[in-house]
Amino acid sequence: MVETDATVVPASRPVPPGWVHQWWILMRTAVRSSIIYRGNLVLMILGSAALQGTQLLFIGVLLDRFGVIAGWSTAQIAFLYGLRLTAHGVGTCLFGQHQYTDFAVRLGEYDRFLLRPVHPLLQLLTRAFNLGTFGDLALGLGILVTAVTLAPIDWTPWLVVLTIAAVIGGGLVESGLQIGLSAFSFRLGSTRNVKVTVDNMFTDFGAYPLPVFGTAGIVALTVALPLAFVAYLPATVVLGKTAELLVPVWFAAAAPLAGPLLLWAGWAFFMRQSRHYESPGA
Amino acid sequence: MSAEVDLAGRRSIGEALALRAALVRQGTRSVLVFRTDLFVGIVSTLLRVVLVLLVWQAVYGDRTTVSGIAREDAVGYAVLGALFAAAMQPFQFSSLRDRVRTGNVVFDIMRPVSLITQSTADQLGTTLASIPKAAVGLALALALGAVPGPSTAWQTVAFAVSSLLGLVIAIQCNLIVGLTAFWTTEVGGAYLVYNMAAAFCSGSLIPLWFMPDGLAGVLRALPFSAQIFTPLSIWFDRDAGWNVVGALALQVGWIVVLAFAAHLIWLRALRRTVINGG
Repeated sequence: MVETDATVVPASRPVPPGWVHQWWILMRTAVRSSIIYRGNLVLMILGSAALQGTQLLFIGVLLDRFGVIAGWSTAQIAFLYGLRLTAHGVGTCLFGQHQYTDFAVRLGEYDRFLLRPVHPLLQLLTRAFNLGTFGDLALGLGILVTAVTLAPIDWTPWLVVLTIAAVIGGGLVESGLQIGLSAFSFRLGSTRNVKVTVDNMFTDFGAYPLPVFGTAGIVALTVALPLAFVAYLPATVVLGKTAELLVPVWFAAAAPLAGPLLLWAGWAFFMRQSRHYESPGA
Repeated sequence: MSAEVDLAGRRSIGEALALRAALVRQGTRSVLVFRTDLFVGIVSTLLRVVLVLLVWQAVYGDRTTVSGIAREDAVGYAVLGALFAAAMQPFQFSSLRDRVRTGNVVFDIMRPVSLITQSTADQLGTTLASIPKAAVGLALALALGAVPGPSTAWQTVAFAVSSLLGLVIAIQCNLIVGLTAFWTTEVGGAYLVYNMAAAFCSGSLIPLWFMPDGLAGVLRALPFSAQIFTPLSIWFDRDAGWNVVGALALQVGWIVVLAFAAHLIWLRALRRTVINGG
C-alpha cells in the first residue's frame, strides 16, 4: 500500500442553495433577460392590461346599461372582479411559465432541465418571465382597492386576513390546475387548447356571481372546474352574501386553502407524468 | 414543376393557386394533427355557448328590451359573437412571430414563395381548421334556440359572404401586426394589445348597439367592426335592404386599403430583417 500524504479534501462543490433560494436566483435572471426587448416590454405590460381591461370594459358597459347582475351591485361585482384578477396576477407572476410546457417538451428544452442540478419543474417555471403578469397584478390591485372603498363591507381583522388569503390561495388554485394540465404535454404533445380554454373560462366567467349560471352551473364551476374557489366563495363571505351559497359558510371561508392543496396535487401529477417524457433528440 | 416555370422564375396561374392551396392545407393540418386539441376545442366552444347564453339571460333578467334591443337579439348576438371569436381570433394566430424571434424567418424569405403569401396562407389554414368547432357550436346554439334563424335566404347568403370578407380583414390586420415583429423582434405584447382591442372593437364581446354613441361612432369607422359586427348585424337586421350592399362594399374597401398598407409595411420590413447567427 502506497502511503500518500494527501489529506481528505472537503467536498469541492459548494452545497447547492435550497429550493426557494434557487427559485429566487433563477427568477431574478429571468426578469432581467425579459426586459431586454424594450419595445416589447412596454407593449407586453400594455397588452396584459388590455387583455383584462377589455373584460373590465365589457362588464363596465354591461353594468352601465343593466345596473344590477343577479342581485350584485356594481361595487360588489368590482370587488369580485378585482379579487379574481389579483389572484390571477399572483399566480401568473410566480408560475406563469407552465404555459410553455408544450414548447419545452416538444422541442427538447426539457432535456436541458433534466441535465442540470435543479429540480426540472423549478427550471421550467423560471425559464423566462412574462412581464405582462405585472400588468395583471397592477390592474387587479387597482380594481380591488377601488372596490373596497365603494362596496359596503363591515371590515373585521378576520375579513382582511381572508381577503389576503383569497388573493394568494386563488392564485395557487389557478396555477396548480394549470401545472396539472401541463403534465399532459408529456403524453399528448399539445395541451394549448385545454389550457387556453381553462384560462379563458376563468377570465370570462370568473367575474360573475355564480348563481348566474344556475344550480348545475354552480356545481360544475365548483367541482369540475374549481373557479368558485378563486374568488366567488371568499367574496360572498367578505361581502356578506352567504345567503345565496349552496355550501356551508365555513366551507366558503376555507376556500383559500384549496390553493396550496391544488398546487401540491398539480406539482405531484406533473412530476409523475414527466416519467413519460420522450426526448425529441434536439 | 420546372416545365411550368419560365425563365424569370414565374409560375403559371394554375401552379400558383395549387401552391397556395397546399400552403393553406399545411396550415390546417398543423392544427388538426393534434386530435385532443380539436376535441377540447369543440367541448370548450359548446361550453362557451351555454355559459354566454346563461350570462346574457341573467343580465337581461325579467326585462324584454334594454336600450331598444330585444332580449332575443342581444342573447343571439352574444352567442354568435362568441362563436365568431372562437373561429377568427385564436390566441396564437401567426407563425410569423416565432419565426422572426428565432431568426428562422431567413429560411422563409429564401423560399421561392413570398413571406406574405406563406404567412397569409398559414393563417387562413389555421382559421379554416377552427370551422368544425364553430359549426358544432352554431348547431348547438340553433338547437337551444339561443340564436334565431336568419330572416331571409338572400340575407343568409349576404351573411356568409360578409363573414368571409370579415375573415379576410381579420387576417390582413393580423398580418400587419405580425410584421411589427421586424421592428420589435419580440411581438408577443403587440399581439396581446391587438387581440384584445380587436375582441372589443369588433363587437364580438358586446354589440356596438350597447356602446355609448360617441364610442360606437368611432368603432364603426375602424376596420375591426368590419370583421365581426358587420356580418352579425346583417344576420339580425330586421329590415335589410340596400344598406346590406353598402356594408359589403365597405368591407371590400377595407380589404383594398389593408392590402395596400400591408404591402407598404412589408417593403420597409424587409430592410429591417435581423438574423440571429447560427
